Amino acid sequence: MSEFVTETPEIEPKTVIRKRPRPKKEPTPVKGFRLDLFDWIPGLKKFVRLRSFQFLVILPNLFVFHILFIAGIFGTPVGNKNIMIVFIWILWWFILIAVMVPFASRIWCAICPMPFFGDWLQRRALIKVRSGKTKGIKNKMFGRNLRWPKRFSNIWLQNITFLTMCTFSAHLVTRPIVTVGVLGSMVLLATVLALIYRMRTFCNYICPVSGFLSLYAMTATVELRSKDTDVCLKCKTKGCRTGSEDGWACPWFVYMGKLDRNNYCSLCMECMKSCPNDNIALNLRPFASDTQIRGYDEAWKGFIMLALAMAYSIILLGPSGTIKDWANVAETHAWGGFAIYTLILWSVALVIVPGIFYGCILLTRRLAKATHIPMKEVFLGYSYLLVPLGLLAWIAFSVPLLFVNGSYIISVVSDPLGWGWDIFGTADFPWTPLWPEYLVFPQIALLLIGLFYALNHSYQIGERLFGSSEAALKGSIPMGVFSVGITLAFLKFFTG
Amino acid sequence: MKHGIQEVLAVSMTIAVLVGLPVAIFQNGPSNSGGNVRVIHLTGVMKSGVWTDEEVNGLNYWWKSFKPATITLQKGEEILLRLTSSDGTHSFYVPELGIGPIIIEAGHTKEILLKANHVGEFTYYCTTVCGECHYFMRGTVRVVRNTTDIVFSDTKISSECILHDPPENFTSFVAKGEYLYTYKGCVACHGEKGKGGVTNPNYVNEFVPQLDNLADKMKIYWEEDADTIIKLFESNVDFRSLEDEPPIDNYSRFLAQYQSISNKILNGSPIVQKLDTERPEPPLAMPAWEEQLSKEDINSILAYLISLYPWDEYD
Repeated sequence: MSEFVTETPEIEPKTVIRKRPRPKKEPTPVKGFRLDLFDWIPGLKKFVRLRSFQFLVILPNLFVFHILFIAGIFGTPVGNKNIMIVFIWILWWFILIAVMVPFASRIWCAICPMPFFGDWLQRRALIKVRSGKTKGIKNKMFGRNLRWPKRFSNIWLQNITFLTMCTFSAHLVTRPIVTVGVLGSMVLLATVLALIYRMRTFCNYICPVSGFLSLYAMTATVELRSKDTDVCLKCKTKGCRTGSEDGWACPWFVYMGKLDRNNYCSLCMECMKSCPNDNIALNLRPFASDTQIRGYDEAWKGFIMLALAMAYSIILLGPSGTIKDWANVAETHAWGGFAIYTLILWSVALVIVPGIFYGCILLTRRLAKATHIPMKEVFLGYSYLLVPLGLLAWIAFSVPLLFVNGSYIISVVSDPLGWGWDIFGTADFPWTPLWPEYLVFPQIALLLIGLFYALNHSYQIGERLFGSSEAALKGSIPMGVFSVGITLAFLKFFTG
Repeated sequence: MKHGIQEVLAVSMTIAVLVGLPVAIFQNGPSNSGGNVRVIHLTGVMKSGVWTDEEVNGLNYWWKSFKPATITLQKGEEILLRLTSSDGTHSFYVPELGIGPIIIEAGHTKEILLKANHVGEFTYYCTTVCGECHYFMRGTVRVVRNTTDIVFSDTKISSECILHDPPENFTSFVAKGEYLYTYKGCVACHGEKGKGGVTNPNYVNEFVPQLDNLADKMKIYWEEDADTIIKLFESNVDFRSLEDEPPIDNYSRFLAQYQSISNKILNGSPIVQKLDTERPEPPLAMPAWEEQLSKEDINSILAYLISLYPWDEYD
């Protein structure tokens, strides 16, 4: 038996390192005016509290999406005569980026029909609420309700899916079937993931649209917030996050007591029903009120969006036929060129623009004499500048899309599938660009607004980070140069 | 469970959208709503070079190779032709029936009533240069006395347009010329191996010129001379700057013809002389290839056509 006897190893005394408890994150203090729209718009509160609210706002969209899918598959392959292309890439895109995001935050997510089937399967209900218990939630949910892996609980996947989608944008915006494929895959994935993972995993972590909505919703002039966070802290049920017999648990796991950014609130208004204290307000607020980027995933989303706006300005609005040919590989078969185009696009978005930004941050720290402040804190702090710069550049880019090609909308509403219908008598409405020669002026104005907000916030971020006006001012110089450089580049793209 | 009735209503509305909408759409589909007359729906497809009666939609357009439509109708029958373009701008022209040219832009639809009073086979054409397969874009309108008593031959109007990337290397100018002759669409008008036989309605000479006798037209009378000229083509010589005349008969006459024919390929010949000035324009005219063919390409096509000459028949 002796061979089975092993020596007991000596236990060396270990120094027990206790982790310092992480300070509790307190919500960022509110700055600027707030006006509760529920008090100002009669009936709004009653409407969003209806159990049928979400269904009522999604159904019309589901109807339109269904037409789009049918048109994409069975309608004409001519992009500008197919409602799928015209509605999605001219009308929807413009409304989303220029109206919804800056003025209504993530309202699109509230009315988006893509997670409709997933929600339906998960809740087995369209209107009613099921009480019960499902893994910490006070609603009965169906499906496996697994936790999404923690390492993917960020928007990196959204960054990648968006960049991938945009790499093929030349096909996406011209071929109805490609758009059907992409949107169809999103619906399918949202549905399948809803059966496996809990809540809106697809929207939270994968949806390519959701990523940039989360970033740019920070600028929105509305926010859904707790009226009084103390009430939330004292609330025993935390119904907003866990659900109740009156409302589903927040599909985004948001606890209203700590919600201080628009990024991950889809305005589905379930919390309005599940909050037992009537403690939620829909505030009107100044533009660009949320100013904190909280992770590299969000910062890189800013870089990607900026780089893509530049790339599209060159490809779609610029004169270079070669780059257009490279991007449009399915028709030109220029695979070598497409590989170069993809490499440049991804490098600019993921490495070059962030690299330049990093260089500016190094200078900022040095000029502000703030090398003691962690690099990450300064980098993420200033990366907020990418938000107003990027959003306004995207709006400026989208202006000609609507004004030059908007007349296609008038013709496709009469003949959505290109089948020769003429429902409203406008099927043969000719392509009529609106004031193409003057569009550059609103574009310039938009870029300058973006620059103004970037410069203004650059100083404020500096004050927040360095604690003194002088350091903030000095630190703002490289960031100002970066912002002005980006604006000048866009001006060059738009003015030729 | 609260909201039971609302739930039932919501489910019903969802099903109505998901099922009712496609039913409503397809009941009003593009195919057969023409009142009392028979409707033939033709779709112009640039990439296949056809007016087709097959369904063309957003899904199948990208992978399917469409076939040209043959329109058959009885003498005196009236049909409604519904013409749509699935991509570029096309035109529809049946000169012998007095139809067109009707221009149809991408995504637009035009309708024409067609009533044929003469039995026969008539060719329809696209006369708007719409793409790489434009020259193949034609088909037949067959007017029969009744559906049983006349059997028409299965006439091949033109070759099929098959687009693919050209081979990287050609073994000779003749091989390259054959490739260009076929894939650029010369074959559609001048016939397989330049044999001609393609009618050009109301053209003074009735047919598009055949080209298998090009050697004769270029004043090349000996097979050896033809070989010499093809070799000169392959060595990329500039005939006008040659110091020593090549050892071929009638070199100066050949040179004049070579320049004249090369110019015709480069600049085209847009005006086609009518046989009857009262009748419609002949649909086929020599297009200008200046933008699409290099000098080497033109010499390759000429080399191919010269090589087609049946020397043995004249030995």
